[in-house]
Amino acid sequence: MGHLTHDEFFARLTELFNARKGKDYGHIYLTQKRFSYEQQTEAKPTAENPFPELHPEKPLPLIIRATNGKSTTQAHTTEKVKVSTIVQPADLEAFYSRYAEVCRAGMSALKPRDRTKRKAKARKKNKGGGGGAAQPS
Amino acid sequence: MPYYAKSEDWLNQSALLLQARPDTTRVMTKYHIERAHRLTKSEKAALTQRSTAVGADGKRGVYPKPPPPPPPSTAPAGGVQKPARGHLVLKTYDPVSGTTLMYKTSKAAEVGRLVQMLGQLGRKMAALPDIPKTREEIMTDGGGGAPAIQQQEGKSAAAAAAAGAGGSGAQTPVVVPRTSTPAQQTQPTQPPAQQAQQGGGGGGGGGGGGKNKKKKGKR
Repeated sequence: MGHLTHDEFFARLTELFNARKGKDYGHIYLTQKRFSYEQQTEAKPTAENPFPELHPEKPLPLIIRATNGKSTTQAHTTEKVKVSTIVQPADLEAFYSRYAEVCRAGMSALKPRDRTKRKAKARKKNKGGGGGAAQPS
Repeated sequence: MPYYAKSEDWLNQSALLLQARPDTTRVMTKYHIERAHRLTKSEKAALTQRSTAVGADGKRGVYPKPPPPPPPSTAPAGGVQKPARGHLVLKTYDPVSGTTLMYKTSKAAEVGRLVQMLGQLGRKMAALPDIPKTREEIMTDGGGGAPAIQQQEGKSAAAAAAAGAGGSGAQTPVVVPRTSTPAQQTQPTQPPAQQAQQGGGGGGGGGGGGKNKKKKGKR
């Protein structure tokens, strides 16, 4: 499958996360790396510049992939989802802010911030006004 | 490979790895959900039965494949069912040197920060310059606020990538030094500076510990 535009990619990624929401198991893999395939900057190493990839002449795009980790064999062929998009260096900021939003919304099975301690403290404070010794919580 | 205890350590070491091998290093993020309870025998049997039934249907090939069965969360688990637990694993991997750096969390509060870190690493991958730090960040770093110091830090970072210095106990395997020659020349003189920096970080952590102690005393 070819690379998607950012909008399509985020739509598919949201779908991917939503598909996991009702279930109690599953995986989502996200990968990012430099997109150096078919780039014209493939300079040959020379004595002065032995590692041309360390200092490319211009910023390179990134490729972002997302998959649900299903294999393509046997029964899972229809379940496999694999999407990718290319992010140009100029769009990095905008892309990552949206990426963060989608991830935060999608990763709902993570532990929410634990507020029980703060609540217990507040309760203790209220009690502490009247009684002396605070109970160990 | 062991996990880093702090996401900051993971970010620093990943940045060093990216600096050394920007072309091949990739950052993988795995989000996975697991059942909070073990399956009982009957539940397992029900699951396997269902999957074999689907397989038989597929083999017959007369009918189009039925839609996947509903999730087994509907199965009675007896009493209150714990919600499934999710984990997030960040992994920086360089297939050429085999270096793997990992960080694991299960806190939702960290997701935003971690994706921001992915963005920072993305900038390095794209060979874009870092966003200049705000004044506050420079203050907390303990630097004088001069850009020259930042450049120095960058150089020592390159040397550290070659030396493969471990951040928080997790040892980074030695990356074959592929940094450019100026960084290699400065390498022998750099390790003390790097250690001094780490010592500074440790001191900061100690300060944080002191703060906590104070709070305990109040109680």
